[in-house]
Amino acid sequence: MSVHSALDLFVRKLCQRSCLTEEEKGAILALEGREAEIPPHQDIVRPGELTDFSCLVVSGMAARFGQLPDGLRQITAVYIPGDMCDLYSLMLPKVEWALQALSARLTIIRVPHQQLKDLVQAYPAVAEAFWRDCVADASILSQWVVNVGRRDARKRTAHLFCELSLRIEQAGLGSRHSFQVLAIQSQLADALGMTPVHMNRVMRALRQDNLLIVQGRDVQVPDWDALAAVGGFEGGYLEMNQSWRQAH
Amino acid sequence: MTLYHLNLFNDADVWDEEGRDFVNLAAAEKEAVRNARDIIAEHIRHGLPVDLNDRLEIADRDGTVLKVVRFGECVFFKR
Repeated sequence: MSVHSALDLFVRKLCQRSCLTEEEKGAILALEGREAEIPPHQDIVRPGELTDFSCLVVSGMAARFGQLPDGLRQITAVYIPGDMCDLYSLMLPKVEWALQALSARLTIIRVPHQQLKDLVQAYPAVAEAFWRDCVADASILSQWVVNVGRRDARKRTAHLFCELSLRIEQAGLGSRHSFQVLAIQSQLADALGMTPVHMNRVMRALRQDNLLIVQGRDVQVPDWDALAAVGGFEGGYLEMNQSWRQAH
Repeated sequence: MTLYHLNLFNDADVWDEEGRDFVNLAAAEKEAVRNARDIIAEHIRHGLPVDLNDRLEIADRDGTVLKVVRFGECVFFKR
């Protein structure tokens, strides 16, 4: 996927939540940045690092994680192509959480904060759209906390795959029934607060019930509604259908 | 780093096809205990029986079993 395609996806995602004019969309598409290939497990932004750019995922998957003083980490968000993972860094350029490559083929664009600042100063509707994107990110995090704290392993796993399937479908990168997850199972287990062997066991049970079939990176969901019912999944928290909202 | 597979044998047999890299066998064993406790905890939360003979087998990339971690070795009970 090219840099321009990734910006297209970013605009597409923003427009699912905000109304933007052609001029505003064009201004976002004109953003430029430095492309970088990040090896798997490598940090894109380290905890506490001061940044002057935000990262747009071009291809592959990235994750946000929190880290304890002894180095133990927990994934708190996953990002797919078209996500500006740390848009918040425009306002908070130094945070204690950080970003890491999940997949073997993660490509990002580092978009300088100055460009983003100039953009939002010139176009207040873009500032609103960015703000709404950050709120949606917080909404997803809030749902993840409930998922980890209140759902059992089977429901938790079903819920995560439903979320990923919808996000990937909305980005135009697959359908909710068939898509790719460019992360290894132990990383997804980490995101769910489970151990990898436990997650393997849950995945096997979901496969036996013909709810979720994972082969390598390829995921098949034969009956999406049934998987959503298992996970108690309701997609409203993704805030993906807010385009009715006027940008004023 | 060495690739080890943590294969589960309890009410379902689950093969770890991906495997993971560990510094050494001791590190893989520590991880096996952590994983076993996670599964045991889920069983307990749901009031399901825990078979202390269930096990995790640590195998190398050729499938040779290097270490067996039984659930009974991972939890301790006091009466």
